[in-house]
Amino acid sequence: MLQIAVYGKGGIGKSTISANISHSLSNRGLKVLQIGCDPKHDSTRLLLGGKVQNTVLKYLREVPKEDRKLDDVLSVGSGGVHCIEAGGPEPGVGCAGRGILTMFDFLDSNGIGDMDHDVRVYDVLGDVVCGGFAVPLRHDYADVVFIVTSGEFMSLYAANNILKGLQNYDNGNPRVGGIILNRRGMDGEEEYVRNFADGVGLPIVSVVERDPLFMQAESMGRTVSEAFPGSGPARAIDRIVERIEGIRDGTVELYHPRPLDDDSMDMVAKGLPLDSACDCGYVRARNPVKDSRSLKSCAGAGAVSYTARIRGAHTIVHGPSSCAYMMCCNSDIVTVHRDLHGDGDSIWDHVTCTDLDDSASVFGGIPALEEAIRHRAEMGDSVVFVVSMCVPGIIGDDITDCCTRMSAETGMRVIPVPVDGIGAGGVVHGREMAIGKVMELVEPCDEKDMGLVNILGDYRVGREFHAHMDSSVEELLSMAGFRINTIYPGKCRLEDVYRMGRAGVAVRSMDNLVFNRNCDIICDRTGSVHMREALPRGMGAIDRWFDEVSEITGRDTSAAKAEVRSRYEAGISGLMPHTKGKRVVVVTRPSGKYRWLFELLEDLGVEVVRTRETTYNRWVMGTELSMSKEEYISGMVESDCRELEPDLVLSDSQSDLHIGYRCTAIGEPHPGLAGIMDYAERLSRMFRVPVIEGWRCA
Amino acid sequence: MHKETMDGFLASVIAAESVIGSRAVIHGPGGCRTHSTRLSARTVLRDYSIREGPFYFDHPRVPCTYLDEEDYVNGADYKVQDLVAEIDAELVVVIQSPGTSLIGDDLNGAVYRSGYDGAFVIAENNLMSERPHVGYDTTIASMVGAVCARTEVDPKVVNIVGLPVILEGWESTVDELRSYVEAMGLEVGAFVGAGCTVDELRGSSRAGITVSVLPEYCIDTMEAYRRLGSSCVVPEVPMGFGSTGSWIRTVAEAAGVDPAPALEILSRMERRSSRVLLSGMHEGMKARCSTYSVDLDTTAVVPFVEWLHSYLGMFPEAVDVKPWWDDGTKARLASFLESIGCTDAMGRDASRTRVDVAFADGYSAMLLESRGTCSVGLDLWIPTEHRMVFVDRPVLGGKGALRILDELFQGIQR
Repeated sequence: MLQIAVYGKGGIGKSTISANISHSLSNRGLKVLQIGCDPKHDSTRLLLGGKVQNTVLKYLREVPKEDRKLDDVLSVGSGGVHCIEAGGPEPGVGCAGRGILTMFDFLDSNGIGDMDHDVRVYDVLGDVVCGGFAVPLRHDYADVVFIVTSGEFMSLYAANNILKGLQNYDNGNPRVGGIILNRRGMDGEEEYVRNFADGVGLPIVSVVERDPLFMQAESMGRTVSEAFPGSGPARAIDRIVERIEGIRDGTVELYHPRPLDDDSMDMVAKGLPLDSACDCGYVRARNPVKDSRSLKSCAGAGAVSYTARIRGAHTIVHGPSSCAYMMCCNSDIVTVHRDLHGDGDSIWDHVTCTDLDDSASVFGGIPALEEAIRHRAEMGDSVVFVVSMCVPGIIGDDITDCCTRMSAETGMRVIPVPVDGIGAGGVVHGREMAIGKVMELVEPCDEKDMGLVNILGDYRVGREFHAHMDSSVEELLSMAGFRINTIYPGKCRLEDVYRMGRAGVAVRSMDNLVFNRNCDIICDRTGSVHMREALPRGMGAIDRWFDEVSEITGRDTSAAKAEVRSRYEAGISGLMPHTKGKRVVVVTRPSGKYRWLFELLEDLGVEVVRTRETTYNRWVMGTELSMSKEEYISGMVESDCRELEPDLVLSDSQSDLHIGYRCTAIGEPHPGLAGIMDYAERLSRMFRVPVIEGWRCA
Repeated sequence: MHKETMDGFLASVIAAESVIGSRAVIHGPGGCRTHSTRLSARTVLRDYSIREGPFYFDHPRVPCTYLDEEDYVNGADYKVQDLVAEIDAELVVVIQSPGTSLIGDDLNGAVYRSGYDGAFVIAENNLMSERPHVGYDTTIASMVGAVCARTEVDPKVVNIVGLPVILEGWESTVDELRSYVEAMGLEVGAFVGAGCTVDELRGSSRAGITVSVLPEYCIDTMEAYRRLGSSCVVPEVPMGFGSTGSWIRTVAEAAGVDPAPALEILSRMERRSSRVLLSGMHEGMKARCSTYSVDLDTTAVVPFVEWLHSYLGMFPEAVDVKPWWDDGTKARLASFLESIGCTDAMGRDASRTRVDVAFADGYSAMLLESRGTCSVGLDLWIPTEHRMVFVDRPVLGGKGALRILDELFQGIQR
């Protein structure tokens, strides 16, 4: 079977020529299938007596999967030509390109390959605008591609783009059949097109003159080959068909795509002769794979990790079910959710999904979103966040408009978070956008209470953090004269978010570059003073934190400082017998903050024999302490261990955790005195665990 | 109860990983990879090794093209080309993420251009929001199509299909079903999609008989074997002792062999169960007349419900009916429930029905128990809780029956 794709600019006459080719081929005794790959679905009209047939995509939308049959979308036209039309979504919604892919999936899985056709003709929409419309260019489909053009420059420009598309699918076999000139009747039109054809090294296989017979045949709902056989237009079609016969029997050669560059196309536009067949040297741009450890998830997941943390608000994931499942069922979100709200509270009471499927990707997902929002209104919600995933982003679902309309309809606050999966970037970008949206809920408050503090948590704030909040941190805050206003995200209700503006001070739960930026967004909205120091980790940080509290509030914290230091020193001295004189290698991450670690190691009498820094992170920033840094290469630590024989490797590189030495992740202590003391105790025990535990020997 | 479960896309990735020597490749963003990698590592245990490079980033399984927003606009099939060019596997399955399936990258062309000379499958069907069994089956069937060629079949060789590795304890079920088949003097061609190697998959085309475990997981796969000349048999799902016995007899009948040796293996487990229950005196009867709910995404619910009644005398209060079940399955369930006077249980919402025992997926079982909707919540079906599991926790076969009884009575006795 020979498969032919007919491409060309929209409105150039592809469908008329395709239908004529199909009819003429069938007249020669060949079994022909014509597939219209254009949402306007009029490719086969002239083969069907002027009737428009049912499209595949309409059929897929209306008929359940188990009831679908190929025969339902296949019509038999004049000359016995089999006709199929893809169809497409309504203008402005969904993804017509995906529609073409869906149609091919349906045809392939419903036995189109088992039908006995000699020739298949694909009539494809205008330009190669996206991968979906390029499907017929693929090797599994088109053996031959004909390009229909007129002498208008935009038509030639489209022809050149088609050649570029073909080049992207090139596997070394020539596949271009040539150019079909469908004249518009301009002066010098043929020379103009011939100049282009010579430039790209293609023959003009037929010149179809502008002729009223086409109009007459069309008004009869027939092809000109059928209505006026032997006429001039019919003979022009016959020349194409003879070419196809030659390709079938191997006597006519095919050509490689050699598109022109912009300069050469400019010469074509100006009617200047191209000297000879030239190669534009067109090379498709490549986008390298980014180091994605820092982009390990998508903006969608980042956004949901912040919107789903507010009790009383609901999050709708607008996308396929796997997105919601993957981000909620086995990730930090659900773990933290259970931690904070108890085992009996289902994450699915707070997060739902529109479950977009293939049909939605073709026809648009807004109706599913509207239905999901209405359902939340029925459930009595007052605030709903809508977080969009990749699929609605690609098909262009306007969730912002939808949320505005649905807010008006339901009376709920429906807040769009249009991150579009990875459209807005990685997980950190999604968090940023979600925080901005959540902060829209904060009620303005001009009178700040300097005794109230907002604790700005990060996405991992869970049960353990709150246990420390309840003991160690709360004590610290109390010693500094603070009461907690809101912990976000954390054990946080909608009301807690509303009143965030009352707090005079905000303190971060942790310290890193990305998280600090999130907190800036929050403080911009609440107007609270954003403390430089996060909730303190390590004794040095506790001292600095108390100093900053004094600076901001004017309160005297010296007695509190002295008391905490005294307890710290007593605890450390009890651990020294296990730690003094021990030697460690430390591998840090560039974006991490490790001052607390080095201070602790010094206090414990541990010698740092080498420090290395991994280099993979995108947001590289210097560590605070001056240390000898060398570029980190995986495996370096093993050689360090052989050379230096340390008692322990403390590493924030995942790969180092598998080395044949005593090694542990650095992690991070909880804030406050109890946090650093717990960490110190664990560290002192680490020097006493087997160098390699039994399970690592197997 | 509303809940999201894994869909066809994720199941497709795990199906590709279920064949040893095969490698699933995700063409999509890194976010679609993270969970797949974790799930692959948990379901098919392999030696762990760090794998560096732009498509792996330390994690050895399920390399990914890590598309970003720019790739969604311009396409990125060359990333598949680069990834596959350096792959070391006998079979490669390229799976598009839901978003990537919209951009129409030419993946066949990319694999050809990569120079990779092994077998490969391009999973181009858009499986987003499809049921997991559809994704699993479609992918395994494509893999069979990619490596199996028609050959002379041996009537004494049996393929076993429709046992997904996402079902907890699948390895134990493989061992058990293999022991039955071999005890009857037959040879297992391959456990297709359940830990077989690529070589075994290739050799599976010589099987004269192909037998299902969970039929919904192997509709296309069985069709693929039918085309290869294998006789396809769909016995009862081996869930509970009775159905497992029925499964054995159906296989024996199809192969024309005596089922007695295999049934004797099963009987030993059944006898052990009886002895344990009898030894518990009155405690062994605690399940009798107790109520339960079932919310499992499988047609195996029907034999399971029948077994719970016939073996333990338990009564269903809520049996969730899945929209994708065929009419025959629904009719059989309705008929059985009517026969034991429990018609109202059909389709009742398990999350709102107070029962003694809830059989569900991991998260739901945990939730129902912690809410007090049931006294015992058993994590029985996909998706199970992804905890680290050191002892076998099968669901199917005689061993599965013992495990279910074990956890049921541990729960009842608490």
